[in-house]
This record gives sequence, C-alpha cells and structure tokens, in this order.
Amino acid sequence: MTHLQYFNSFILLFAFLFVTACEDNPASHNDHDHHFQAIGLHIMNSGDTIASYIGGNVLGSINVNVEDMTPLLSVKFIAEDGEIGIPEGEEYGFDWEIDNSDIAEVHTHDDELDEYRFHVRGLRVGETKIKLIINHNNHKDFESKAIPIIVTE
Amino acid sequence: MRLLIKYVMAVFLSAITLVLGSPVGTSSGGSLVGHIYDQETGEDIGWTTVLLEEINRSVSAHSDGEYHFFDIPVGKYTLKAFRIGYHDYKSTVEVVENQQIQKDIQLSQKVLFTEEVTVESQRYKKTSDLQQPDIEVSGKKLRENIGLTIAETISSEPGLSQRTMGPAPARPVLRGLSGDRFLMLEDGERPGDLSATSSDHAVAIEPISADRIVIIRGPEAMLYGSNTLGGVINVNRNYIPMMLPHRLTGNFALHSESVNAALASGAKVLFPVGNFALKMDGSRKTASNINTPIGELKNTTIDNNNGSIGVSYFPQKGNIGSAFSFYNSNYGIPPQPDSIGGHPMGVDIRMERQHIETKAEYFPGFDWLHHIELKHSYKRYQHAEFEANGQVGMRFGVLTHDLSMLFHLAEHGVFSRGVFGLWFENRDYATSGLSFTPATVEKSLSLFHYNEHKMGEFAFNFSARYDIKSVEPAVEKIIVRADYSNHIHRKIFQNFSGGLSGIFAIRRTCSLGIQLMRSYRAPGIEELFSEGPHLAAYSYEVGHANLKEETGIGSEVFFNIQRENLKFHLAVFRNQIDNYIFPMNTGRTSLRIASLYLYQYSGEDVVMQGVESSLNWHFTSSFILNYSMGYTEGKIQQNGSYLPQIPPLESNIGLVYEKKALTLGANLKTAMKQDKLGEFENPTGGYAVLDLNVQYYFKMNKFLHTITLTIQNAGDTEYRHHLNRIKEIFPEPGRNVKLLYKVYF
Repeated sequence: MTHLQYFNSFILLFAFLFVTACEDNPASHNDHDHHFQAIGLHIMNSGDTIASYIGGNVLGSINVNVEDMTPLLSVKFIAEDGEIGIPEGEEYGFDWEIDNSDIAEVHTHDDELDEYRFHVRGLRVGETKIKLIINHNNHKDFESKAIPIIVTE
Repeated sequence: MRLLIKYVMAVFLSAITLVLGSPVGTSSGGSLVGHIYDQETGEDIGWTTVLLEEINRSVSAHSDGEYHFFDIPVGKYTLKAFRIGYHDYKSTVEVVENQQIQKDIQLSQKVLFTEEVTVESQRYKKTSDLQQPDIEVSGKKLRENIGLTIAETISSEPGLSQRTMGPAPARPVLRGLSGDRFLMLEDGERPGDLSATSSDHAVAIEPISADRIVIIRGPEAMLYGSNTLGGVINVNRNYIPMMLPHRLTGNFALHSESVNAALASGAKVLFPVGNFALKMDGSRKTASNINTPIGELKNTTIDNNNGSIGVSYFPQKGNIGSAFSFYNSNYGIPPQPDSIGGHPMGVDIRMERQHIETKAEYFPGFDWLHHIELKHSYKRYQHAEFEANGQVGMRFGVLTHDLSMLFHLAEHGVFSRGVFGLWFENRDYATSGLSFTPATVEKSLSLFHYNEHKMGEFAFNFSARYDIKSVEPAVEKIIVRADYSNHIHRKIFQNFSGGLSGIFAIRRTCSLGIQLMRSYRAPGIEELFSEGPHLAAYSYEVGHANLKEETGIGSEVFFNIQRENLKFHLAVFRNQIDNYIFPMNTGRTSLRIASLYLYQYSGEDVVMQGVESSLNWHFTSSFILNYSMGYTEGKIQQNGSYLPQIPPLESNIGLVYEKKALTLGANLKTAMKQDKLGEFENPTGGYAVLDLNVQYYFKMNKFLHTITLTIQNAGDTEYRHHLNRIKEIFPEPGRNVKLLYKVYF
C-alpha cells in the first residue's frame, strides 16, 4: 500500500465515522411556543381585585379571619401581550406554595382548580405568604412573587 | 445502543480495509526486548516507560524490569526510557528482519531525589529544559490529592483554585479564569459536557480513573483552543490503548472519605491479543451528604458510575484504535432556604454521557514529517435538573462531533518539535422544560500551528491559530418581553489567536522568560440565545445575541531555577480581555419565575493581573519544603469595579519527609480575606487549614501496593471559600479522613 492509499483509507474511515454517528438530540422538543407566558396576575373577589402581582411588584393582600374562609377567589393571569386570562388545556395545572401552613391553608374543589379559583382558610392569627404557580406538563410555566395572607381575629 | 452498533460496525469494516492493505504479512519486522536495571544497585526497575521515538511506540516495563516490542518495522530507532527519580535514557537501536534484538537499559539515579513511585507512562517531554514546565499531577502527587472532582484534585497547585456549588460540581480556576477560558480536556478532546457554562454543571470526568492530569500553558495550549489564556487541563484517561503490552497489566483502586461517607472503587486492565491491545476500566462512587463544622449540608449526595472499553491494532507503520465510554452521575445541589433564588429542598441533577472515539496514527518515514494523527470522537450528553417534587426545571442535550487531523513535524534544523493541524466540531444543543432557548447547531473550524525551537541559550515556542464558528438557531425571531428583549439569529465569528514565548538561560540552572498571547473566544449558545430558568444556578438567564467576540492579550514574565535539589518559579502576569462575557445579575427577579434573579449576559473590558510562585526544595536527602502562592486581581475597566468570583491571595506551605517507601507530609493551606467584591457579592474572611498525609508502598508477588492516608482540615476549622456559590449558607467541609489503596500489576 502506498502512502497515498494509506492516507485515503484513513480519510474514508473518518468520513464514514462522522456520518455514522448521527441521531436526534435527547433534549430536542417543539413546545417552546406552547408555554403559558404569564408575567403577572390579579386575585379577584366577585370581580374586584384584592391583590396583584404586576411589573414585579405585589400590591394588596388576602385577608381572612381565624377559622373563617374567604369567598371564592379567582386568579386572572397577565400575559406578555397584556391579555388577561387563564391557561386552557389539560397540560396546565394550578398550584401554590404557602410559607407557613399553620397560619392559613388553601381549599379548592376539582372544578375550581380547573378555573384557577380557590378559598383561603385562616387557621391562626398571623401573617404568611402564598406563591401562585402554573404547572405545564412536568415543569413550571409561571411562579408569582409571594403575596401576603393576613389572618386576624 | 443502535448508535453504538452502527459505529462499531463502521470501525470494524474500515479497519479491515486498512489491515488488508497494511504491510503486515507482506514484509517481516523484528522485535526488541530488554531488561531495565539500576546502574548503581543492579536492582530491577519496573514500570519504566520505553519509547521508540520514530514510530511513537511505547511500552511500560513490567515489575521485573522487562520490556518487549514486537513486530517493529526494520530500521534504526531512537530508544528512550523515562522513570521518575532517574536520569532520562537515550540510545539508538537497529531492528533487523526476523530477529529479536536484546537491548538492556541502565538508568542512573538522580542525586538527592528520593524514591517516587509513578506507574503511569509518560510519552512526551519538552524539547528543552528551558521551556516553561507544565504542571503535572500524577503518581504519588495524584494519589495524595485525589478528591471527588478533578478540580479538587489539582486545587493545591500554584495559581489554581476551584469554583464549587456543593461537592459534585466543581470547576478549576486559574488566575481567575474558568469555564471555557481554562479548557478542560480528556485525552486531548473536549469532554462534551456543559461544565464550562454554569457553576452547577459537573465535569463528566472521574478522578479515580485518571492516569495523569497535566496543565499546559503558553503557546502550546493554542493547539487545543483559541481561548486559552489560562491554559488547558488535560486529563489522561487513555481510553484508546496507545501501547501494546507484553502481558496483562492494570490496577485496582479503593478510595474512601469520612466527611461524606464516600466510597469509590475503580479497576483497569490492559492486555494483548496478538497485535491488538485491549483495555477495559470501570469505577463506581457513592457519597452521602457532606459534613461541615456547623452541621450537615443537605442534598449533596453523589452517585456516579463510569466505564470504558478500548481496542487498538498495531500494524508496522502506525496504529489504529477505538473506544467507547459511559459516565452517569446523579448529584444534588444544596438548598438556599432563606434567600431569593434559593430552593428550600435543593435541586437534583441526573447526568449521563456516552462517548465513542477512533484514533489512527501513521508513520510515513519522511524526514520532515514524524507522523500523522487522525481522530474522531462523538459525545452524547444530557442532564436534567429536578426540583424536590420531581418537576423538571430544565433538560439539556448536547451532541458533539470532533474531527481532527494533526501533522506532527519531525525535528528539522532549528525546529525541534512542531504540529500543524486542522480541527472541526459540530455541536448540536437543545433544551426543554420552561425554556425558550432555541435548538442550535454550532460549527467550528480551526487551522493551527505550534513549534518549539532551541538555539544555544535561547528557546522559543510559537503558535498561531485561525478559527471560524457559526452559531445557527433552528428558528430566527425577535423576542420582546416585558423585562428584556433579544434578536435570535444566525451568527458567524472568526478571528486569529496565537502565542510567543522566549526563554533565555542566564546560567545553566536559571532562566528568564517572557510570554505574549493573543486569545479569541466566540460567545457560546447560552450567552447568545438562552432564555429560561436555571434552577440549580438560582437564576433566570437571558442571552444577548449582539454580543461580540472576546479578544484577550496576555503577557507574562517569569523566572525559573531548575536545580537537582531545588525548583523555583516566579511569574507576574497581566491578562486584558476585551468584551469579557459573563452573566450579570440585573438585581431584579424574573417576572415569569419570581423566585429567580434575572441574569443577562453582557460584555465588559476587564483586566486580570497577579503573581504566582512555587518552590520545591530538597534541603536534605529526606526533607522537602514545598511552597506555592497565587494572587489575582480582576477589574472592569469602564468603572473600575472588581470582577466577581476572583479568589483572594492563596498559598500552600508544606513539609515532606521521605524515607524509602514511607512518606510523611503536612501542608498548611491559607487564604487572605477577599473584600474586593463584584456586584451583589459578599466578602469572605481569611483562613488557615492544616492537611496531613502518610503514604507507604510495598511490592509483593509482582504486585505494587500503595496506601495513602490523608487528613484534610485536621483542625476541623470553619472556613468559607470565596468561589463557593453557597458560601453564605454553609462553610467548607470539616475534618476529612481519606484513604486510598491502589495496587498495580
């Protein structure tokens, strides 16, 4: 075998290897455009806004008495384009995190969850905070800043 | 698995083509055997590396000092032998057709050099002793310092520090440079992981499987990348066996640590099958939560396993080999419960990497060309970051092809050693989870040259490199959000880089040198296009597609003393980097995920300057004094503010006692306070931490046994390291008793 033949054989081998090792990226996906693009929210009681997370700031609070429950509160999310609404589709879910669950807790029924509605029950006097979350498949699409819950006598 | 089968079939079919056309069987070679022994005592010297320079074929002598080369092409060769503690050996030998040539080698001991047991082979040496020595961690030093990560293993070297975020993700930092500004390589190749992009991403290389770790600095580092002001770290794993052993060799290691109940074990075997060499290795490591002087650091468990198999064929005019490896790691990022951006329960990361590579060397026998090296590697990497409730924060996938062709030039006139090369990389990057980062393909092409020259009292190293890179997102779009905006579009970057160093021998053992480097770094995919939460890094990251390339000018003056019993190095350096890219904390939280701070990539002109020094002094035949220090100051030029994540003045002073097979050592690691702070960074206090070390080795039945006992932080001191991302929450680990048992056969 001449030097040139040797060299050509090597080049062919490596070109072959380069082409052989091709596959799809394990993290490739096409759902970039299907996230619910919320950047804020309003918490409403009978059409009145009682608390908001807007422009990175939290305004207002959820107020409830001990051993009492708020009326049904509804959440309306503010999207990037200014639209106000809630996510639609089975892939989305409503969730929350309360800092101190000894002070207050959330009550919902299944149909209320789908509509992003909930009650807050006061357990003992004090102040805690709640973050409201939109889950999308197995990740979060949105998580608000902590919104105060004030429980009084 | 389908990929592996396809790849193995491709290698097999192609190798048959080469083997059928190779000279084996059509012309006969000869063989070379011999015995290596101590010139003064006559004792056998095992584990010596023997090299036939012209064909780059090397073997490691067995424990009884015997070495064997089979099927060597007829001709005259330069025969070299290297063994730590002995002077290098060089001779000529002529291989005759169908004959076995006997060539015994006598090695003479270095005066005042106490016994060192280095078993792993060493194939390359600098052209001249004048040239700046690479930092090398191997043999006894590697066993003494071996840690849970590569960064921890080399962190006591001068100028080196480590950036951490829990025990698993650690990345080395040299002179304030980290990430892909201080490239980490495995057998000369990029490992294909994402450790350079974020502090929570672990390096996919297992320290217990490393044969040697070398830090290459100066113009030679440009062989591996255009952005190597800091240098490169090359971890020698030797996936593809580059030597044909005479019989079965290998080692077995067992390693434990008390601070987190870590247990690691690894084994490696290399054996011949005719003209083939077959190598297999594997390791497993588990660790619980790490303990600190103030309590347990939660969610810091580690569960790693990795393995590889490699085969090489050695026809007369070269060699060809292929290897497959896998690396799986599950590790935790500790919680930051009381701060914005923290996670009360921490984040879990599951990472896996598979790698296939093929390498061929061909020795044409030309006067001017030593050999041609061709290499292809394919890496499949993915990792996912999980919250405590099992939700995926982000999933990353990277598929990387690397193809390189190197022409290793022969010594020719004043040119002592040179390489001319071509490198191509295709990198397919994608994310999922709450990520708006588009799937992107990066293509890079480089042309480079490196040469070493020696003329009397002067030695020069020179490198030049040209790189072109395209970054092509799957979709082009303009993003306008309430709190940021970006224009996702195709980017092309290209530029020159290079280096020059000159060394002058003031006296036989003293030299003075100067080094100038020009570096170039194109922005990465994450820096240009990222958009989404990065839970483990406690950040919501946003790229900046209009970022320009980084260019740096590095200058350094250094002074070396290299005597038999004393080595001293002093360097003063200044690196100016224009458009230094880093994620800047905007001070605002993300509107979308309000628990994370919004970080946006930006470029600033920065200067990093400092000094480093090291001393290794055998002041008696049994006592050695070691000292090293490093200091770097980094500033943003525009406003004079300090750069974040720059280590303070750090030093090590150690005393070692060596008597035959026993080594005792004590090392005091100190750091000054760091109050030169970047934006949103907190100060750290100074500290002094004592480490103790005992090593012993013995030979039994042709087995070499080594036992290393190390006590890190012997005083259980509470201290905080400035480059630890969670230093405000927990201090560094407490007292740690480490035991390493390694047997070589």
